[in-house]
Amino acid sequence: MDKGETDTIVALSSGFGRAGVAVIRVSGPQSSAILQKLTDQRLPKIRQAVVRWLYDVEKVRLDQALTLRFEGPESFTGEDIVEIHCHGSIAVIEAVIGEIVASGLARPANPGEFSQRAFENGRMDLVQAEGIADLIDATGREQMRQAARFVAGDASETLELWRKSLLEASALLAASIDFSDEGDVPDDAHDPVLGLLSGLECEFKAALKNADSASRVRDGIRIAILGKPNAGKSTLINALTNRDAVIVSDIPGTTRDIVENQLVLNGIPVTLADTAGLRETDDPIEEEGVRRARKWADQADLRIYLDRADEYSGESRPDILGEGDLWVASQTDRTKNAGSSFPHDLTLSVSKTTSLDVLKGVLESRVKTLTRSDDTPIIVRLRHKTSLKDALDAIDRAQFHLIENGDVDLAAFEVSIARSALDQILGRVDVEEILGEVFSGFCVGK
Amino acid sequence: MTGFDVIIVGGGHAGTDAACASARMGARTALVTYKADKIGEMSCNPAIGGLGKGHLVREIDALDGVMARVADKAGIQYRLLNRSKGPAVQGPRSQADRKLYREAMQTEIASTDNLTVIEDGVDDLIIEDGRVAGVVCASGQRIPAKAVVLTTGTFLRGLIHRGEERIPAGRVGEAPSNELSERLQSLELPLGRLKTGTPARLDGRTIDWDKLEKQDADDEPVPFSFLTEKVDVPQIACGITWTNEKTHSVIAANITKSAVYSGAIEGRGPRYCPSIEDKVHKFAEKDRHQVFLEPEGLDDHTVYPNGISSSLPADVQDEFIRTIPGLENVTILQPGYAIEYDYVDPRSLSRTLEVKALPGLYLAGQINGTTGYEEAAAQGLVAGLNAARQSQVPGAEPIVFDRAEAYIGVMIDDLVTRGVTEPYRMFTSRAEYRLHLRADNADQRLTSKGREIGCVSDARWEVFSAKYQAIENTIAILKNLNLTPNEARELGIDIKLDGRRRTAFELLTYPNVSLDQLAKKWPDFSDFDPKILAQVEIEARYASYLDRQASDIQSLRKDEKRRIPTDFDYSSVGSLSNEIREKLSHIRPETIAQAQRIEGMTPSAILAILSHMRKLDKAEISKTSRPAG
Repeated sequence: MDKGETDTIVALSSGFGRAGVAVIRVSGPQSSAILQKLTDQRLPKIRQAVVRWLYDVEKVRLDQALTLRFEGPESFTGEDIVEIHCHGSIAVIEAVIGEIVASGLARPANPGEFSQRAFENGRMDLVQAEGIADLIDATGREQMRQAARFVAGDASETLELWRKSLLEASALLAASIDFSDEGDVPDDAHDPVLGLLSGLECEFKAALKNADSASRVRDGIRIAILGKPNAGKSTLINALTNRDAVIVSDIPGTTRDIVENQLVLNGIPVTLADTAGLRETDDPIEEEGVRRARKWADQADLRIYLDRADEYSGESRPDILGEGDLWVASQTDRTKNAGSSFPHDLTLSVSKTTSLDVLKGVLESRVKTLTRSDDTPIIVRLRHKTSLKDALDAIDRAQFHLIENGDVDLAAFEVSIARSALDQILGRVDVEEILGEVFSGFCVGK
Repeated sequence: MTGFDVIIVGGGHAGTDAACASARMGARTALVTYKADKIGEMSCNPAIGGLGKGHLVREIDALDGVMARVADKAGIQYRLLNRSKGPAVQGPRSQADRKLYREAMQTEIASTDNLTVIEDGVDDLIIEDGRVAGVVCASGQRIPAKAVVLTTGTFLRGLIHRGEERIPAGRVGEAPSNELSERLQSLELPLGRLKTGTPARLDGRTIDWDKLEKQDADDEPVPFSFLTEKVDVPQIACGITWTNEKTHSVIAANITKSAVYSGAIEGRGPRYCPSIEDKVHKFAEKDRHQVFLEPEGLDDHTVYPNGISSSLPADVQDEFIRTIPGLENVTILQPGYAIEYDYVDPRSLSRTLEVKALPGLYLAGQINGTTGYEEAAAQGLVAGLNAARQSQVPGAEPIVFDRAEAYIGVMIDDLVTRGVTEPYRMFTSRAEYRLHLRADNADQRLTSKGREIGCVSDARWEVFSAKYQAIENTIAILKNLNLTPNEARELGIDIKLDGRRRTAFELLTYPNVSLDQLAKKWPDFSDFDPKILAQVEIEARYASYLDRQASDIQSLRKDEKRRIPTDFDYSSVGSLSNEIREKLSHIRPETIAQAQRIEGMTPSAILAILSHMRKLDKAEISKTSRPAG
């Protein structure tokens, strides 16, 4: 069979490199044939783990492996699947996959192709598939928990409920349009439809609000460290991340571009950005650095502005800080009037661990607040947000048409736009469904 | 017998519009039917149009078909449905005088050039070289033809059920055509079984009309045809009554005697047109159901009680009908019944309604699993046009309407792509581009195309061209007039004071702005033809919505142009799932757009087909560019 046209795929599912065990996964109609060829033995029973020797085409032993078969549609992809748990040796992995591909029965899988097949075969929806990708990418505990909720279908369930409400609204409108000459169908669908739509409007708004917290969990928190040149921004970052990642010097303007540093706080990945000191400058390179610092700071979830205590001369709180941001007086150990009071939110001496612990504590509580959500997150990606906003706008217009002029045709159009926006999040559409809803809910026909 | 270009079998609604369409195309056409005096018979509800259906009638008319013009000579209770709900979903409907309709249709047929009526049954098809080459009649005569359109309605193995009675029949009093059904079966066309029903017919002289609510016709009838200036037929009212608990208990007590509930019927009936026993059984919580009492004609005392179709035994029908107010002493002229009949799975047809496996054979109407006169006539039109064109120029471009230009296109695409599980009826909800596919603009959408096809007469073309020009001119004038936001506010139009001048047409596209408001500023609007102005106002109302759907329509049209070769081998596209591969091989979509609409289709399957098509193209090019020898 031509390689490009076989539809069985193979890939290493565990990480590449030396390890105790590596898992190679095969999915598609040729899976069992491949296992038989590799083991040159009777196939093991479905879902029964059996140890087998693997051979190459010349009957030379490759490795001893644990083998497992799953039968579609009761499998991850919905197709027949074979799993080969061999030794995690680079040579073995390459030999086994090479043998499978050379047989012509399978081709190497594209990135995400197993999940894609699972989606296409109806084993999961798009949101769940994305949850799997997020789970694989998770570095922090909260990220992992959130992704797991998407995989489990918590979000999908809510999206499905919304979709059902919209379908119901469509059905009510369809009934009032296509069956208005039937005595058994209520002619006026306005009130029930408006009820459904205003309920959805509230929920969509809440989900969009929640989405900010959820995407912070998914993408991590971005904290900008700001201040005049030589305020000690880099020193602070080094202390927080416990390493000398940033070049620290006493020459003002050392950090000209943005340097991002990663750490995990409260199970949430945090990006700390070391930025160029904010000051007026003639140096075009430094000026660009200052511009970038401001831009990064604008988009960050939290801003920390440092003032060097010994250089502080009574300026008021910087404009760049918003509500919940931190204004910090740093290096209070350097100043002679160490005990004197500052108007700042916090004073800090990096060399004193207690003082650093206080800052960490404050940061942790801020991270908690920023990622706290009242409900299960429903949407998390920009793609979801865009679609949900489209749906919200369409619902808004549908309500307008119904309330202002009673234009059911235009309202029905907008509701269908909202529905297809939700369908885009989950991945599907169908008109027959609306009619089905109509027929199950009404007694039509005269 | 000398041959014809096209033979139409059947003189119902599909057959008549098929025959006239074929004849308008200049093809020598024969209409073969059992009884010429039954041509144009309305065998069920004597009404034309409705929601979705009225749209179809207008489209047939825009292509110069006959249904609308004939209906305008027989309409006795015109009502524009959904009058208050926006022009896109308004549907013209009228009760029709059964006799007037039949007479008008027979006159129309008789006066159509190129059209011959042959009174005979058709028992078999003549097949030569894998093509249909004519028909064999019940009388034994063989009539050669280049194409045949079958419009046999419920006549294929038709079986009437009433209680325990079973009567083989096409409709009451007429024999079914079993020979033809057997022939179709031998062709291995996939046949299925469907069911429909009809209520009892009542003697109007025995109805107590004084007790009943009345439903009047519209004060100003809105005709079906764009060519009808004025409806001259007298208008009547229908009566409205309701079933009650007594009715329901009679039905419930006898429900096992219903042919539908005794399990005698294998065919599936329509969900939207349930029998009264269905209504009582499935919606037990409802204590009454509406019944319209529709007179079948001006001088006909037969009344059609719309809403109580039934296959209960005659005596039970008699009993429950008499529990209904106004019908206490009614005389039943003919009890209701259910009828089961064969249909051909329409997925075996191409979008021209030609049978894929048997070139030259076209099917239209109930034989394709649809219900309704309008659905039948629309299919007849398409089958007639295509049969005529292929008989004149074999291999000519097929005549196809897409989902963005006509309900006809929506219906035929639904049929050939998705098939049917119940008798298929048109609904406006089936049209994705409903705001554009309106009854009011059917001529603007289709008459030019019809003229190009060759099925639009000079007379209609002149009327249409004048109207079209007037609309275009008026829109141009409205786009030239403009005013400032302040001036607009003076007219009571609430817009942003941004200093931007807006044209009269743009203002009309806003919700809540009407021509009447603008006429205060430009009094000479009153010089314009009010019909044209009304049309322009509708155009403006939907203009922004059309813009929003424009990119969808564009990508639909692009994908409609991507033809999949008819001999495309799906088994050689490896990355298709078995389920999708089977569906594709069975339905054989003609275009990528159609393939996308198949249930369960995935984007990656479409990509796989496209890439395989590209490979084939390349192979084709390298084959043809290879030097000879």
